[in-house]
Amino acid sequence: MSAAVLIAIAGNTVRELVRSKLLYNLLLFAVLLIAGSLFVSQLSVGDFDRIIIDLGLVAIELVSTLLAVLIGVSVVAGEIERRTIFPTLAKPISRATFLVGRFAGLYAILALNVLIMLGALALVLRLAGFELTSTAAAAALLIAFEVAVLAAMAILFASFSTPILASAFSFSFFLIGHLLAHVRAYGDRSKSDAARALTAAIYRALPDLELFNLKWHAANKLPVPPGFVSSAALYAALYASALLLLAIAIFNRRDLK
Amino acid sequence: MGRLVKRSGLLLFAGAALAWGAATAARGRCEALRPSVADQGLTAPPIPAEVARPFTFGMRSAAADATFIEAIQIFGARRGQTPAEALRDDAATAQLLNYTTDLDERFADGYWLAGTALPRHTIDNKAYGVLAAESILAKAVRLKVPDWRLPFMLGFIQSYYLGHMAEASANVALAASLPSAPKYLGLLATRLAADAGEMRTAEVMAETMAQSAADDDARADWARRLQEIKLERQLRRIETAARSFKERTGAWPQSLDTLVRAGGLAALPPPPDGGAYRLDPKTGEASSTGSKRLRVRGRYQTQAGMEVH
Repeated sequence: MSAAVLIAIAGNTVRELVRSKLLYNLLLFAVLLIAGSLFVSQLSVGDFDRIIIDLGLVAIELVSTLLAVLIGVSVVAGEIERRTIFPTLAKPISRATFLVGRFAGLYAILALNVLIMLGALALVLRLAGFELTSTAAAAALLIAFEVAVLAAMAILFASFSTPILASAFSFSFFLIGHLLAHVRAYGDRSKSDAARALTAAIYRALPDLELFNLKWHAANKLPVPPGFVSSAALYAALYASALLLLAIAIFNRRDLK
Repeated sequence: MGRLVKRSGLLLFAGAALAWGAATAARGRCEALRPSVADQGLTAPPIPAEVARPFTFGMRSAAADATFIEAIQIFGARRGQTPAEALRDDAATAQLLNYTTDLDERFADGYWLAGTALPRHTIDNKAYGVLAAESILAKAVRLKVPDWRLPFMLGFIQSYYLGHMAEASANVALAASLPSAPKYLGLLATRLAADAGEMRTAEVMAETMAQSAADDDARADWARRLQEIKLERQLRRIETAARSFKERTGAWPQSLDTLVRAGGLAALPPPPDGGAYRLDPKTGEASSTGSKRLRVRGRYQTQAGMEVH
C-alpha cells in the first residue's frame, strides 16, 4: 500500500465530497438547528445553556451520523453502482488502498464538519452569554470518534451490498449500538444460560456506541472521568480498523463485473 | 400555443389563490375549535420513562428537555383557568416533571420547577400539588442530586404545608451540607428540629456545625444557636412538669416556685441566655426573660386549616 497513492485517493475523495450538495444541505440544517436552540431555550424558565448544549449536541450527532452513513455508502457502493470505480481500479492500485483512501478522505470531511458544528455551538452559547464547557467539547469529540466507527461500518456494508441496503444496515447498527448496554443488562437478568451467553456475545461483537456518549454529562455539567476520552479514542480507532480490515477482506473477493 | 400557455398559467395562479383563500377560512375554524394546551397532547408519553430511556438512543437529556419545556408551557397557560382546568393542568404538569426527572435523574431544574410550580393555593384555603411536589423532590434527595435547593425545597414543603418538622429538619440539614448552600440553612435546620421536639438532634447538629464553622462569625452564630437549644430544652422540661402538675391538681401552677415546691421539677440550671425563667399561670407556657424561644415563627398562622392535596 503506497502512502502517495493513499494520500492521492484521500485527497480526491475530499475534493469530491466538497462538491457534494448533501454535505452542505445537512451542514446548513445542523447550523440552523444549533442557532434555533437559542430560541427554544427562551421557552424555558432556566437552564438555558443546558438546552442549547443538548440541542446543539443532538444536531451534531444526527447530522454527523447521516453524513457518515449516506456519504460513507456513496463513496464505495455509489462508485460501484455508477461504475466509476473501474478507471481507478484499472490502475495499479490495490482494492485495500482504494478503501482506506476513501475512508481517510471521508473521515477528514466528517471531522471537519464536527469542528464547524462545534464552532457554531460555541458561537450560539457565546451569544446567549454562556461559555462552551470542557465536557460539551469532549462530548463533540466523542461524536467525532463515533462517526469514525459509523463511517467504517458504512464502508464495510458498501463493500458487498447495494447503496440502499448498506445505508439501512448502517443505520440499524447506529440504533443497535446505542441499545447495546441495555441488551446486555436484560441478558444479565435472564435466567437462561443460553440467553445470557447470546447477549454477552452480541455485546462483545457489536460496537457499544454509548461509550461515545457524553451528552448527558455535558447537559448536567458533570466532569469527564480522567482517561475516558483517550480510551474511547483508542476503542474507536481499533474498532474502525477491524471494520475496515473486514471490508478489505470482503472487497478483495468481490467480483465487480 | 403561447396564449394557451399564458392562459393555463393564469388559471394555475388563480387556482392557487383560491386554494389559499379556502385554507385561510379553514384555518380560522380550526383555531376556534383548537383544544387547550393540555388537550393538544402536552402530556407525558404513555411509555414509562424507564422503557423510553433506551429508545432516546443516547439523547435522553434532550428528551428530558422536551418534556421539561412542555411542562413550562402548561404552567405558563394556567392564568384565568377554571378550577377544573387548573386541576387537569396540575396533573399534566406533575406528570411531565416526574417524567422529565425519570428520563434524566440529574436534571436539577426539573426538580426545582416541581417544587416551585406545583404547589398552588386556592381562595378556599386549599393547597394543590403539594404531595406531587414532595414526591418528585423526595426522588432528588433519594438519588443524591447535588443541588442544595432541592432538599431545602423539600424541607420547606414538609414544614410549611405538611407540618412534618422532623423530616423537614433532616432535609434542610442535608441541604446545608451540600456545596454552595447558604450559611443560614444549618441554623434553620436546628430551628425546625427544635420545633419538632428533636432537641438532641438539634443539639448534635449545632455542635457539629460549630466545630466545622469556617470563620469566627459562623462559629459565634452556632454558639448562640447551641445556647438557644439548651434553653429550649430547659423550657420544655418546665412545660412538661407544668402539664403533669395540671393533670394532678386540675390547674396550672401559679409560678415556677410552686412547681418546684410541689416536687414536679428538679432544680434547673440558670438559663444559658443570662435571663430568668418565667411560667405563664394561664397557659403553662415557659419562657426566658433573656431571649425568645426557638420556634418556627409564622408556621401556625400560615398552615392552620389548609387542606393539602
